[in-house]
Amino acid sequence: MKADEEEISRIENALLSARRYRETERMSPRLKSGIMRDIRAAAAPRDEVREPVSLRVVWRFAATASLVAVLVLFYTFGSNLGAEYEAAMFFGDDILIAGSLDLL
Amino acid sequence: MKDNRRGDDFDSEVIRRVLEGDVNAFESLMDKYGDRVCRIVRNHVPRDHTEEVVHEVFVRAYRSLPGYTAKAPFGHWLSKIAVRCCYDFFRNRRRNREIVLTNLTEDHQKWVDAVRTAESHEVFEKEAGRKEAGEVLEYALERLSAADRMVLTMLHLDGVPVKEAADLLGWSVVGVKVRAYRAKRKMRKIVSELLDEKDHEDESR
Repeated sequence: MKADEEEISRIENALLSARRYRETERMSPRLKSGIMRDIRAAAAPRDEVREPVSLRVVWRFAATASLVAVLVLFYTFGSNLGAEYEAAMFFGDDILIAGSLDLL
Repeated sequence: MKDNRRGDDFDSEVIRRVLEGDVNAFESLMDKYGDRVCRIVRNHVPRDHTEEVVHEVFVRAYRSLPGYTAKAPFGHWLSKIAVRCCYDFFRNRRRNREIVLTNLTEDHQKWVDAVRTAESHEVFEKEAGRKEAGEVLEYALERLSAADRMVLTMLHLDGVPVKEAADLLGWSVVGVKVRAYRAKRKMRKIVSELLDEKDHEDESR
């Protein structure tokens, strides 16, 4: 026998009403202290991550320096004034190396 | 002096302190919003798992605190995390196949019969207040997916407006409406099967 619509609605309404009788929950001190314990534990690594700011600065400096070096390299090779010589001057600052490159 | 303990200024001040490293200040946010979070979680999650999910809500809130932009009040932001944790709880249970689908006992079957035959509103209400009612409701909800369960609970059982439910779940309004419609149909099917099963049992006796 197939359940009729009215009966289904009755059960549905009873289930809806059952919801009203649900007990409310309050936060217990035990739960609160358990959460705080975990949060304090989670806080420690967060502080550790924040501490080495200097390391972040070093990496930023390294990235910027690399970028500048590449730009300078492109500039020197882009100009018509003896790129090899200028590159040698830039990196080596050695007139002998620059001179030998020029001979080549 | 005006006590601004309940206002957004109080929350902002506490959040600032927590972010500056005063972890213990977080406890005052728990004092303020603990019962609210418990209520949300209790509305969705079975009683024996409530504490576990409330715990997860506050730990997740603490971890996400640097990303809180104060565009919405802290209480609302925390409610969203609570709803999300409830949703994840059911998703994980389904994924890990932790849900053991319970069968109805004779007491539950008797309750179904009593509701079917209840002639007055008083009897109906009395039946709705019995613990079997809550257990049958849980039996039906367990058979829904996490998303269906969340939407059905919010919209049909708790009467949360569609727009608010969409905001809390992080879904579109249309998505919530469609999901709610389908979830209600599934719920109806579950109740129908429950009654059919009961009739079948009665006939076979």
